[in-house]
Amino acid sequence: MSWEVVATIYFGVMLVLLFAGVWIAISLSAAGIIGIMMVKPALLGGLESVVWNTVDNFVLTSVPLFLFMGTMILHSGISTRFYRSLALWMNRVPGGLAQTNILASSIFAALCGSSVATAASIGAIAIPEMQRRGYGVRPMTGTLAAGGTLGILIPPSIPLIIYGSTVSESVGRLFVAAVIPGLLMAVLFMAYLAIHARLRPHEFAPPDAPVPFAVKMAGLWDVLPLVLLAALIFGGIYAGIMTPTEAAGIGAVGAVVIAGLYGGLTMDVIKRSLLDTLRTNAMILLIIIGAQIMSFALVTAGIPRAIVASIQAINASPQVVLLLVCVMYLVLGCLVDALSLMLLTLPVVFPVMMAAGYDPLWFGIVLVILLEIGLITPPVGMNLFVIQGLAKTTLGNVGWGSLPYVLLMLFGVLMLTIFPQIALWLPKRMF
Amino acid sequence: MGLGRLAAALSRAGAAVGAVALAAMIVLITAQVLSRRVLASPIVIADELSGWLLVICTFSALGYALLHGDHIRVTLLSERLPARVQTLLQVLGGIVGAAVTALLTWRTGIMAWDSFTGGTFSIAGSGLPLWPVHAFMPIGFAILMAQMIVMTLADAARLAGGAR
Repeated sequence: MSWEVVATIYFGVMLVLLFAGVWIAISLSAAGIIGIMMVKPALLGGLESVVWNTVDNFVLTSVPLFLFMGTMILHSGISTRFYRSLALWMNRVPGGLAQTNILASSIFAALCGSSVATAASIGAIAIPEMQRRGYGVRPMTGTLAAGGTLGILIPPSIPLIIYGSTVSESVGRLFVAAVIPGLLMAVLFMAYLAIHARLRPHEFAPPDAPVPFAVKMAGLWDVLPLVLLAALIFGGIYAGIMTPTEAAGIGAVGAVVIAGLYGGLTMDVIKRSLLDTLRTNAMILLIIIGAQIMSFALVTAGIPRAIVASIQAINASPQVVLLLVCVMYLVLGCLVDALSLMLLTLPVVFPVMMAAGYDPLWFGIVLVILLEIGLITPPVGMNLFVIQGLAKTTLGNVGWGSLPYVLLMLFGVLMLTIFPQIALWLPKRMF
Repeated sequence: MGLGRLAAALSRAGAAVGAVALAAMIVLITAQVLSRRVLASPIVIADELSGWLLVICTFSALGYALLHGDHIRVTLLSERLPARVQTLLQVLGGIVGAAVTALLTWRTGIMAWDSFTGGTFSIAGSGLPLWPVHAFMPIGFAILMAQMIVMTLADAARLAGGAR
């Protein structure tokens, strides 16, 4: 059988299972197993090694640890106080609480590796507050959905950990590379929002009376612990004192300490945080196992190599390759969950991008921004769903509210393409 | 249904084991950072142990995650179909899932059995036998499979009930 036939059967099986609603992890595994049976049935004996080598992995250990940190902080009772204190500082800035959403999401993103968790945490606090003060639905939901996506760009980031461990790139360097792009995106969001609030003030609540400086300073006590923990984690990785996994362990303990300081540390909270983490971790790791089985089958059939060769044969320029990859992620991002999308495309897309001469660190960052867009583009966008559920509004409202941020993220990808140094400058200065 | 309660009990028991493993992982890695950076005497086997703990907390929670509906699917198309077709697709998907997890249980079971009878030891620092950790793979997949079968049987019963 030629590789084209194998590839067609193979992706055909995967897409049919996927869109028939079979569990994503099972769809990937099944396509992989069928692929192996078609090409080299004897290699089914290698399946157990693929499974073991995927999970017995020190780098991936950071996944449950970072998940635990985010969950613990969410349950610790500090989040509401943290949001209100930030709101005191943002209350005279055009956009008010909508600005607070972006700022709070950015800081929370530095303690949480998941976009959905970031959007859910900040959204649960912000929405009742904003509805009470009469904010428009679109700026409210748009800032929460889009601000939440920063969860996977600003380190720590579960997708970057998985990207790093899949393509053998240093997770520490990926985290460092993501910082400047992440902060720039946050600044871009806030700048846009300020203009929006100036042009259409009726969609925002009128600014509150000025808050005395002493009150603002007192509020910092609720912000500082989270900022210090984020700085400790990031600083430790940047300075080369801790590996990302070690930083995740420290972060997990730090979250427990913060919960203790703010009176949120009970046996029930610990138990709930552990069990929530286990569930999400099992879900993520099973998809990674499925993706590795699929990748094993694809490589066995020589499909990634053949696709790279055929792209080289038509002499596509690197810009055209990048454009096609971006369009593919924008389309698929509307349909498939972000992490699964990354795992099911990487075995083919990564070799293609490397053959086109792109830097693996740079591509990791661009990929994550493309995945972020997928989180807020309907019909399937996890952040849209989360915020829609919390705000009890239509998917359309959240989608339209998020649209400006999709354009800003595309602008971000364009900037990164023209100035790759935005991502690559800081990692060069590490250690 | 007896089978359903058994599968759920197994899933919960797995989660309890996983929670202990996760807590141990947090403590171990923190201890490792402190001993390496503060006392300058790293715990030799910590990196290796944490990989094993990840294996334990992942596999022991596979069934528990399914019990709570955490294993994600693409429902974009299927949710637009009539209810009966949806149930039928769930049954078919459940059969695929049970087949895949059965194969994985069998293959990883062979690995665990081989390392038990062959006395496979870790090549890194600890030199500990590997079979107790390997065993979590088939056990975890088996619980996941049991949970899938129970759910699929329930779907199939609904499908048959609706036909009458």
